[in-house]
Amino acid sequence: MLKINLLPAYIYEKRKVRRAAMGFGLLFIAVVFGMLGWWIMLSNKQKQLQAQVADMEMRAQEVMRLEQAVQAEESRIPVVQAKVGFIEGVMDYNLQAPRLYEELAKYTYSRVQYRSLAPSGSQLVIDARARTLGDCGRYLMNMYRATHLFNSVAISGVPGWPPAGGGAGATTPGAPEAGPTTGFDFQVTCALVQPIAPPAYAGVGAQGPGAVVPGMPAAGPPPSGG
Amino acid sequence: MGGSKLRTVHVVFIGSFACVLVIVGLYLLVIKNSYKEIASLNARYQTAEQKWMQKASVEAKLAAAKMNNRVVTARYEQYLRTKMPSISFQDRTQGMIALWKEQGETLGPLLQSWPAKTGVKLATDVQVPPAPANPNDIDGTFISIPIGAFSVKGDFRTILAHLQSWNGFNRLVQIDPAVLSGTSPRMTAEYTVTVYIFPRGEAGPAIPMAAGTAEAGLGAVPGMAAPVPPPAR
Repeated sequence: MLKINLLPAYIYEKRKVRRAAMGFGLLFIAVVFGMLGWWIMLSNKQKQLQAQVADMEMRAQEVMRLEQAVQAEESRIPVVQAKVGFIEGVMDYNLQAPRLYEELAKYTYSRVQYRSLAPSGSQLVIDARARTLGDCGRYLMNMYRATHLFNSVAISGVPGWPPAGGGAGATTPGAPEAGPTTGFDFQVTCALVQPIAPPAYAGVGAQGPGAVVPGMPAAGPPPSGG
Repeated sequence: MGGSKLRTVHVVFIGSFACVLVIVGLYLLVIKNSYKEIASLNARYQTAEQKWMQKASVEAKLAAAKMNNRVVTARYEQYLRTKMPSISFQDRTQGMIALWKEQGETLGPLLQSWPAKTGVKLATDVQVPPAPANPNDIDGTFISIPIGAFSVKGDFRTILAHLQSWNGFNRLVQIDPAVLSGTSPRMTAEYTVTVYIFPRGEAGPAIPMAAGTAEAGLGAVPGMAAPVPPPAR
């Protein structure tokens, strides 16, 4: 038998609305619980992470304590190091002049006699005596070769003619060489490659390397002769 | 049509809106903050972890610093033993008296006898200046005693050996570059001598004293006041 629903649609609307409201009510509750679940999950993760962070930060603090210990240890070194450096600097300074003299002796011509050696910071002044200009010239050429010792070598006091004071001993280029008892005094000024400067400790012995004379130029031609 | 005008479409719209509202509201109010907190915790964790990973290198640095410190301290202790008198200014008065004895009794004879031990003849008188008479005026960390000029005679080699020998003296002595004159073997070397002392330990606090007493009372503490005659030449 055929049944035909001739009732208008609004008759069923109430039921549909009720069902929809129930459905959405359930959905709403599900959403709320879902969100709460999400939040609880995040809270748990957060708590877990907090514990991990606390543990790791404690370890990091241990490293920071070690770093502070390193700083404390390193801060003690410079004080003692400065004293040791000064003591060793003084001992090295004491040896600089003897080393210079020993090295200088290797470049000294045997027929030239030294009257005095006077070091002063960045230079060495030598008062010497030679019998002939040739001896003086050879000596000077030797000194020019000591480039590891001197930046420049300058000579003064080489006599002309007639010699100052009229002494008979001085010689001139081209003149016959003087005898063994004659000669002339001259002075050599050498600029040291390594100036001799005292070490400093806490403002004591203020110094600094003296002015270094620039590289030894082709010094004037050595006196001819010999 | 029964009293309510609410239709399904309305319920769907309201229900959807309420769900979205709850989702967005809870996300913004709770979830987002949680994520922010977690991100912050993650950052803290990474920072701490990076620091923790440096532990091995920091431990190595600490070991190296300790070793360096031990080496430097050992060298310094050795110099203290071999080149410094035992003077400490932890008690400034005691330190000052020890310094008086050093400058007034010990140092002069030591300096004077040294050239002869090294084969040269001393041609000058040794004079050690008196020590300070006020304990509060003394630098408790570093003491410099200018001795003055020395003149010694000998041959070139002996003089060079003598100059080098000062590093073996049992005080820290600075000798300025010697001026050599004369002809070997009758050569003369002239140089100035300064003695340096590092007192042991830290300096103690200043001594309270009545104004002017130290200057007036102890100003005449001698160094090696009476010059010792040079050895016979």
